[in-house]
Amino acid sequence: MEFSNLYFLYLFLPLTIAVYFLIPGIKRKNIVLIVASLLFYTMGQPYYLPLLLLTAYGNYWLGDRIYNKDKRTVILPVALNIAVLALFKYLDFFLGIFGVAAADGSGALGLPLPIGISFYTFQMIAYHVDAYKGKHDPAPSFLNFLLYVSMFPKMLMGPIVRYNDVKAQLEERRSSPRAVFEGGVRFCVGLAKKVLIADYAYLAFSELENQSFGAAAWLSALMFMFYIYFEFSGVTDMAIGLGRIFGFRYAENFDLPYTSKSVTDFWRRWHITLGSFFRDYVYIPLGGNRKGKARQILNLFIVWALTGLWHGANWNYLIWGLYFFVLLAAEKQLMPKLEKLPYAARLLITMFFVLIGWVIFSHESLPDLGSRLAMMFGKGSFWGAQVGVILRNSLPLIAVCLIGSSVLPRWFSLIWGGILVRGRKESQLTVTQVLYAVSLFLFAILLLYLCTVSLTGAASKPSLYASF
Amino acid sequence: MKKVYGILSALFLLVLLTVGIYSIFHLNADAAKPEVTFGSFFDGTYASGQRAWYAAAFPQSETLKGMNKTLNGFYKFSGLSGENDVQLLINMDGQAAQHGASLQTPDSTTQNPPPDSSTGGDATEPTETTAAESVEPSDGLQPGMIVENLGAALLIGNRAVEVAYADYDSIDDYAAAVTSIATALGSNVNTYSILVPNAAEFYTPEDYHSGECSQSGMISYAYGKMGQNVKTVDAYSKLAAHLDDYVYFRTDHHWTQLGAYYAYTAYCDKAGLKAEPLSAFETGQYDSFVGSMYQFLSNYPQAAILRDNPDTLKYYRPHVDLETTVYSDATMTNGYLLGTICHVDSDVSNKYLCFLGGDHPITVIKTDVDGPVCMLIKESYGNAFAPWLTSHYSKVIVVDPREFNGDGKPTLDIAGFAREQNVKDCIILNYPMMISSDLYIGQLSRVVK
Repeated sequence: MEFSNLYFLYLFLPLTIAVYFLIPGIKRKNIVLIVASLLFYTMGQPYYLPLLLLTAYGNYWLGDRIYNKDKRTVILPVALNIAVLALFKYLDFFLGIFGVAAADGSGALGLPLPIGISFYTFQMIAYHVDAYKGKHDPAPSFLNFLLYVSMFPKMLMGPIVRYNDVKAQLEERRSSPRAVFEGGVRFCVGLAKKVLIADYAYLAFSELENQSFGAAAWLSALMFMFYIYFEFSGVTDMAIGLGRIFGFRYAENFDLPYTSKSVTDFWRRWHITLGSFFRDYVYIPLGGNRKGKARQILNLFIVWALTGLWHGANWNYLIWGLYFFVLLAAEKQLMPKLEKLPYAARLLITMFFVLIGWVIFSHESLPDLGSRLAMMFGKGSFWGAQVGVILRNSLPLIAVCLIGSSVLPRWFSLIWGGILVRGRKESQLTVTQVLYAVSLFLFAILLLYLCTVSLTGAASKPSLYASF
Repeated sequence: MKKVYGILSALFLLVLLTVGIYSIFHLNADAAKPEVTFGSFFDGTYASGQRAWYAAAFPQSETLKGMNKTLNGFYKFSGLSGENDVQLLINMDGQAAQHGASLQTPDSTTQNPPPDSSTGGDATEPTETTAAESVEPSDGLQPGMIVENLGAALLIGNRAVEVAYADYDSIDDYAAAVTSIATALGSNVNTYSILVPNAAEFYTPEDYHSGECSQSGMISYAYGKMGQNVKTVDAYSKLAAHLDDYVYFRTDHHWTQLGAYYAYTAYCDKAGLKAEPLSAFETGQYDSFVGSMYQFLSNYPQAAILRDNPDTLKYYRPHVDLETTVYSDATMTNGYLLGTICHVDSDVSNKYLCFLGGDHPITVIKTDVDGPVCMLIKESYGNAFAPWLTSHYSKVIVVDPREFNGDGKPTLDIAGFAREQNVKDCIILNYPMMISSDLYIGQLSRVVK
């Protein structure tokens, strides 16, 4: 189930929150969250619920055995998790490469991708490796582990949460009134990013994809660039907000990526928890930069190939990952020169390469990708009247996207907060503090209302990252 | 401040809960509720159906949808364009064209004439007719709802049109499908192809009917690819010569019956028939026809200009005695009588359904004319065309290939069927959105066994 539908907003969510706060005791609250999470999952893919429970129990059981007996056997659960991921996500792709599966799908298993498998599998791998490294004890109970794996706010689209970061909260946590309030506001902001911006950007993108003009190809790439940011960061905001309501603190996943001044900087700001996963569980264990230049380049190559493939079992994702490998390697050499450029120039250069990356990402068919890139770089007509109309039709959306992905909302929030609550303690009760809180509340309700208007009679477009 | 945060948090939850509880008691009962089965529960379609149902049945949904138009209008800025400039360009995906729409009768013997019909025409007396307008995308555009990439909907002044984009590989397939039908029918049957342009070809700025949007180019290309056994009809020139007449609707994606008449005269030229003059037919009209293009664009406030400037639908009643029967499959049993020109209730917006009562698998018009049998293979553009044929044939059999040989649909072997019915002339009539539609081409191809 998606967060962005009325059923979730007005039935599932308030009921879950109400029951959660009415039931006393952390253990009972955890059970409420587990039941809600399994119900949430069942409303998407009921047929994969046994798979989720089985893999969760298997990982719990193995983790328990490994820590108590032989730490070297950590390789077993990691391999098993990769095997499960490979079976459901990559097997058909490799069967195609080796000629077993044909392009029309014959010979392929054709298993539907379990929603969220890329996220929860990575969480379980991190769990075992961290336990192996002694960063945390095994989960004290299956229910504790199941809640870590299945917690509905972050299960489908992350962020990738490490057990070590939430183990204390799984056993003892408090949802302060302020945390609940801020969580609710954050959820509404995320919902608006998804429903009021990303869905419209996707619509514009799909309209522009039908146009065979160079300008349309650039504009559609721009709309996809906005779509994927508002979509993914919106859902992450919702996840973090819901986590806050229930007393969890999840890691941030985005930090204004479209203000990056280099590709390296972009990857520090985009899908942060995935980047740190690959850094900590692949790059560093492979030797990182400690085993010479050639080995470092090989390690980076592996990391970026895996990053690409994580996003989907298709050649374009692999190319997308390796495209960033080449860019990052080149940037390392050119960085001294790039740093001398003004910020605006660096921003434009970075966004140019990020945008080309999204073109690769958004075209699973390589011939389509080739023709789209050719169109962008001069093949065929550049401009047509249709493009002019779509551009004019899309101007407000582009303006909203540009402002929304810039630093302006953060500045505004800081300035607004600075004016009203700077230097005041939470224990104090001042008019300006109340005004600040009420303004946030009204803002959240306004967003909720607009999203309700947008969602009435229709379902929001399913989130792209839920299929990763 | 803790108390303030606590109160605001409780208020936030209260808002969600109140709306949720209120919604349960005020759901729109008209929205179709999904039925739970083991299969639908297990594969998740029941749960997704529940969510869709709740969104459709949400209280005040019509009011909220109205507000949604404002939001859509904000995001689809029309600029400071003039009255006759292009206001909107929306991905069309062939939705209006690909879904058949029909009047449906509650029993098999009912039929209504238009309110002002008099003598002649259909022999049976009608009683009551209800309508089903599946053509209307009631939820409007939904993000990501892509059916098939065929073109765009363009709002220009007070007219909305479908702009077709050529896909020459698909047009090759279309031409091959037409040729294969001609081959299957054999040399005893004259097979005609009539490709008719739509309004976008004539009432849009150059860029929307040139290059890959050129319908004359698409039609010439398709005709050039058809086999020698297909006789091609130049309806384009006839329509182009009468653009000052009311040959296309402004709010609907179809042509008028007058537009179909000019195509009919082109067909008569080719087939060696003498076209009946317009003056030979009684006429009547439906006022306030707001058609499919408005329905498609109704989620945008800019489309209000279509609603506020409705079309008038003028129909021409056949002057021969006839009986029109609709059948659900090629066995032609259990048919029911309907009109060639039907009554459409005032609360049904799709007045184009008056022609043959919309799209049906097979419609047979028996006339008192002493002539051969004609078979018309068509999508909805053919509905306004078929009545003109009644002056020349003893029987006009209208076949909608979209209704056969698919999942759960009856089978049709067009060659065997034509032999059984003693068909002499076969007309395959389509408009440009269909000749680039792989979905339609597949359906057309499958009638040849």
